[in-house]
Amino acid sequence: MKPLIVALGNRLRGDDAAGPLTLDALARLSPAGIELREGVADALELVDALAGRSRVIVVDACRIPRQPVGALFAIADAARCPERLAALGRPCSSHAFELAEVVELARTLGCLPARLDVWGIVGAEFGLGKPPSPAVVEAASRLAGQLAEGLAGGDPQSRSA
Amino acid sequence: MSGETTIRVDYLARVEGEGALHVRYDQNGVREVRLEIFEPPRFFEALLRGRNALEAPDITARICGICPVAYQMSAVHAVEAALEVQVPEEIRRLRRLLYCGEWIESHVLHVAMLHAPDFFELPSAVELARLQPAVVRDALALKKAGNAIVALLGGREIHPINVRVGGFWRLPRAGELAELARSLPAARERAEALVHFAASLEPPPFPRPKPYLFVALRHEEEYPMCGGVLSTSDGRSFDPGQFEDHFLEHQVPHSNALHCLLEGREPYLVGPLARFHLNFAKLAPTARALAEAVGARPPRPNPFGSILVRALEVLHAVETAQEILADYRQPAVAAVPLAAKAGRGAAITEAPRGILYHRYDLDEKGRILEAKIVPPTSQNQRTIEEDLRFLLDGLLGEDSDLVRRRCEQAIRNHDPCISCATHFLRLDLERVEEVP
Repeated sequence: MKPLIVALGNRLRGDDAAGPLTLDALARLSPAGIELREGVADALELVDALAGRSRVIVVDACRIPRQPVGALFAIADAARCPERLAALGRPCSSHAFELAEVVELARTLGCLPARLDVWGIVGAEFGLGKPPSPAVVEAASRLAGQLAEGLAGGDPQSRSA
Repeated sequence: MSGETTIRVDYLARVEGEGALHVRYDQNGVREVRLEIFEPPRFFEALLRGRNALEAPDITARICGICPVAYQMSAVHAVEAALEVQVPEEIRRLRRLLYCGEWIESHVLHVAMLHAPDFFELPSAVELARLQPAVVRDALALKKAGNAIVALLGGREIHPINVRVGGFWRLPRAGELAELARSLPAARERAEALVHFAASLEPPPFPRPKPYLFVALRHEEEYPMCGGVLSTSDGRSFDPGQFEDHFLEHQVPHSNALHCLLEGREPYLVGPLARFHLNFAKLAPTARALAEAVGARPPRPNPFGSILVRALEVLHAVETAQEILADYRQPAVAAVPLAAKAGRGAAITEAPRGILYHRYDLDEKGRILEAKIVPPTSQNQRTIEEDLRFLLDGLLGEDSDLVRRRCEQAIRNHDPCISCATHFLRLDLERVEEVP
């Protein structure tokens, strides 16, 4: 199966659009042999999406204290560092599942891809109807180029940060 | 030492929203039980005032990410009642199909991911997956089937946007429905497996000294979803328009969700157990036959056994979806024409967690003058507190960790959605004349 890039985030909430903007930039680069998927309304469906893949990359917006807007953050080979995934925080709903739980569920069910990377783009403004910050738009474009180049070159690290 | 024990669970796990439990008891009995709902009020009814009634389905859908279809269904039926509009049978059947999707999504999530871990003393679905991988794998696939129904009819899985007063914005294409129909036989097999799994679980004993007063819709031809007569297990029945005459809400100091009591004094239970008791004969044939086969006929008063009833309702929903798709006739129009008029309309539909009441008063331009919404969790609060009292009577002297676990389970038995329940808090301001 093709490598999959999943973008999480809401286009209507300012910098939360970082993931979808990365997908837009990737689509413009038209990288061959990569599947792009935007938005997973039900995180549990990610378990299924991960199954059978050799490579999955998840891109989302994030907040990191004292990091500038637009900075890139990566957890390379995230399935091997569950404690770092767990530190990403709780979902907003107690009926929702966070990425760390989804990865653990996928691991338990034998659905983990050979390699899973998580990329975050640091945002600051997540208000409803706000436009994304220019630094986030620029970072999304930069990350897209980096991912496309890494995947095209068969670099399993995809130039991890 | 007083011998008095206080159990406090500051954040209830695996229920939707923010709530806490406070229990105080000693060797002589339970002193105090409070299901505290401290999630802030959300003021949806006030938000609706002045809005066009046609917006009600989309605004109220935002109350809950787990049961948005229920809010849309109660809203469209209530507004259509106010506008004196009737939708064709084909539209009604498509709405029922959409509701089947939500029942599957919501119930499977609760049965396999939130409730089942209790029966193995496990903290979450991740640990359950280690013990019962096939159950969790099947549940994920089954939930996905429910998501697919909601996505096709509603436009997307969460907070669907295709429902409108009078019908739908866009009708599904024949090819899309055919593809959905092809996916359902596998879902049905998985639903049957889920019933067998739920039937294999041993609920803890719970001799409830006071029987439940069940309240659910009853429909002449169907297991109820979108309509019917409001009925109680002691033989009373009401038209949905009479709901506010008999079901009275009041505020309690420890909860941001109003408590609702029948005739202002009787706690009652809504949801799967109530539906099952009042409508067992109307379950879809396979679901009913399987219920008989696993010995799950009403009365089933043990709420810890509600997991089996939910699993049966999942099978019922899959089977009903198949039946609707097999007999599908495309509606002549996606939505019937509407004309604004002043009026009042009320409706009740069966959300996964039980009856959901909406009432709207409209002006001559179709704007909402007043809205009232009573969700299932608000109605079940007092009965959940009663469950806890009765449960604790049988657990006095037990280890406090066990008591805590059982109490949390007793709340999860009813799959409460606290986020739904807190969108109304009435604020009455009384002007007091200053004494000179």
